[in-house]
Amino acid sequence: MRDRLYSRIFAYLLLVSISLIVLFPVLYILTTAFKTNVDAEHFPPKLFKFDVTTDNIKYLSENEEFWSAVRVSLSVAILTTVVVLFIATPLAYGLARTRFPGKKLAVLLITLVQVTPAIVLLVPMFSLVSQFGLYDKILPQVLIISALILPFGTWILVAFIKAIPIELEEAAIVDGATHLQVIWLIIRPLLMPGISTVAIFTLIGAWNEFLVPVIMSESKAQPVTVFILRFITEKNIDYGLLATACAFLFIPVLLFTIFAKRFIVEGLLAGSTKG
Amino acid sequence: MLTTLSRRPMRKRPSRRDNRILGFFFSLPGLVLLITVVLTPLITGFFYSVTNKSLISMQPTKFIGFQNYQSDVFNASFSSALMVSLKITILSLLTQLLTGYAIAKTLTRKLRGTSFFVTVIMLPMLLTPVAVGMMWSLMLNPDLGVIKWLQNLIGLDINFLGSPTAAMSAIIFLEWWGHLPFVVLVFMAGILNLPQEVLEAASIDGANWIQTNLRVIIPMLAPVIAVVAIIRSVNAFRMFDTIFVLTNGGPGSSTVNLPFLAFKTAFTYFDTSRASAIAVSIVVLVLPVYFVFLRMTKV
Repeated sequence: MRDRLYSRIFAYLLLVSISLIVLFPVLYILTTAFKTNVDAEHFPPKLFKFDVTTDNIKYLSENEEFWSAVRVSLSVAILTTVVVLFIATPLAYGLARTRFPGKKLAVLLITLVQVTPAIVLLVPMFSLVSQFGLYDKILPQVLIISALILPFGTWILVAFIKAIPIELEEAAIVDGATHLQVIWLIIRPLLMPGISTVAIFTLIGAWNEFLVPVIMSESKAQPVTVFILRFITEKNIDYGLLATACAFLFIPVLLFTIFAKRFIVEGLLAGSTKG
Repeated sequence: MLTTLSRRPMRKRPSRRDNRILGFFFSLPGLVLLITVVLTPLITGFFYSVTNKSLISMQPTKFIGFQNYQSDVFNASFSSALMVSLKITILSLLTQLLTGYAIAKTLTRKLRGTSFFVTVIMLPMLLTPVAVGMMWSLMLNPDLGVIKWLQNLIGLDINFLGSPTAAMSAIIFLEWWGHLPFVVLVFMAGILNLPQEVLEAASIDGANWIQTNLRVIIPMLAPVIAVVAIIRSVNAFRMFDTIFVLTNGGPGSSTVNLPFLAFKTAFTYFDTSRASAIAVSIVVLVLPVYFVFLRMTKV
């Protein structure tokens, strides 16, 4: 196929313009975090020439409530990841390699979560959680977010397990290994890339979650995603602090994208097309 | 070592019974979680929807049949929110499929710098949606946002949060912006998996650019396009975070979609029973998609 010059120019024009549409807002937020409120609210906007200040960062880092929100975000993200990994890994093995009573029910429920908007579960869940005195606690958030992420994580792992040749397991059984030994000694090491992928997706997903905590928390169990709402009031938007908090939320995600790109792409394909 | 192992004649397969017990115990934690967090609230929600349960009313909760599903408020707000949901879903999906295909096609040409562009284009999908909404609401601010400034440069003046149509375009744009990466990445994988011989044959037979795309690549890519379309539709249909921070459903209720309507009814008006009726109706609406998903699932 001939690759004419103008077609290459067109290709780069497309890629550069789409990259600008993606990067411009992100860079705008990252720079606004370093602006004084006077500069941040200046019109026409000061995109490049502004006085660099660390006041916003300082204010947030000295704010006890912000750190409490950060602790909640981190705890929810980490606990959710642990729960999802401990539940999705055996579940995926069960689905990929065995038949068992209840398999159909598991598939029906997993798929139900995939198509149902979370709010459908959260309306009644709010009443149930309040009745059990679990409102504004981390536990219900962890369990609900785990259930919401479980399908995606399970399908990723099913795809990874199916990619492991079954002959490998059969050969080990022939050699006298028990089924559990096979899983622990053969499947587990081979599944590590899949497990890492699910861990990355769950960490990002739980860190980003907004709907669940906005309903299930008001102060003690409020994560950063909900905390940032306070910078917008009817009268006033605090541009600098809002941008700083948003930038704070973006940072771990940016790092994962740069350093774990391959895992993310593979996981996305495995989780959505089911191997 | 492993190859010698697998060449040995099979003497014993894992017994069926062993298999069943293992599978059952392995999936037990998952089943317990899904039954507590998914099945229980769904059933509870159905029961709430046929009562007059409210978080602020003093009256005792009692059974009222299907009144919640029949009231005028329910009908008017539900059908309007359904239209909003459908509009967002269809328009963002169409724009994503078209631009996603063009970008994926360009990224699979193995040009210099492809890896960098992929990393950049991937970003929006992973960024915190609520912060993305905040980011755009700062930029779209009608008084001092960057978008107003950009518009001034080319002599336009649209307040993207001012009129229903403009607010809707902003929402659809954000949905496009945030989920384009997914479409691009899956399309890229699809295009790279196409049999090269067919493409070469088309090229030898003198197919031009339009013919190659429309008659050769897109038909072969149809299954991938279908998967992308259905997954994206389901997700666009349940869009919430962006609407919450960008328009809060406004102006009026022009950008209230179904999830947002359920949220507002439950947590602004505290009308649990009507919100549950909305929730149950949403489940009924997505049932056809549910069956499609079940058919796609092969385990």
